[in-house]
Amino acid sequence: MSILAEAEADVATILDPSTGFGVVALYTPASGSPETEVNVTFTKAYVSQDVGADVEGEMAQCAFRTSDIPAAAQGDRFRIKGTSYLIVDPEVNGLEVTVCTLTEGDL
Amino acid sequence: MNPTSPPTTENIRQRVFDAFVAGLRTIRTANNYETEAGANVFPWKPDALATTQLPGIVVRDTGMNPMDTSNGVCVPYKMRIEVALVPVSGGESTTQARKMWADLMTFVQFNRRLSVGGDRLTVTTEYVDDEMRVDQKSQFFAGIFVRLDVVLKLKGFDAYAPQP
Repeated sequence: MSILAEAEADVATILDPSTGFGVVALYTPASGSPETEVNVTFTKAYVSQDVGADVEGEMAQCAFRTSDIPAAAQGDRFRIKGTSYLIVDPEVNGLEVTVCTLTEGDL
Repeated sequence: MNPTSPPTTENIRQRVFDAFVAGLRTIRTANNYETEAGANVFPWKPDALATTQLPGIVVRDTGMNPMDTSNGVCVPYKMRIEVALVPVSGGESTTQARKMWADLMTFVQFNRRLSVGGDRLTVTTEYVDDEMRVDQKSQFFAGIFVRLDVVLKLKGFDAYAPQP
């Protein structure tokens, strides 16, 4: 198996909710359709936000196979664990995984 | 040489700062302000504001600068006070931050000279500048960072007796 094939297999295992760290998310493009269920990893790390004083904030991010949602863009939405998130910043990394920064509000 | 007796009052820097903080805590809608900014006032908060502490104000006295030392008898000082105004997160954050700023202005307008128990502590308050900052992560936060100078007069190096 090639290195790339091995990496893709590893990503699939990680994203699988039954064997890895993935959760099922409902993706909705900004246009409203079509909605798609996709496996993502989801994190919500603490981050300190400086607006003159530091405020306790959170950095919500999700990651998924780029091939699952090739055209993820700012303004699209995910519903993860009952909460709706807006995609702020989608970035594709070298392993054909897209990592999105999410916000709970509107831009 | 040493002082002939210990101080009988708090130093002027503490008294002015305490008076300013106490005044900020009166910024409530019950006192005819627009916001409840006075609900959470933190002098020199070492850790981050929790979302339950918003709207919040963090206030710091960051330094004293003499204005004119040519008259060694009575020296005016500018006590720099920095006020961070942070409203609740969300799309209305910047609007709420401006309201908190307006409330701060109103407070200073009515309290340019700080007094405690009839004792005048300061001469006046000057506006230096401010800066609005925003940050978007999972939530959108905005804040306005305001710099003020509180002018007070001291005799020589006397840290206890203001000269209003």
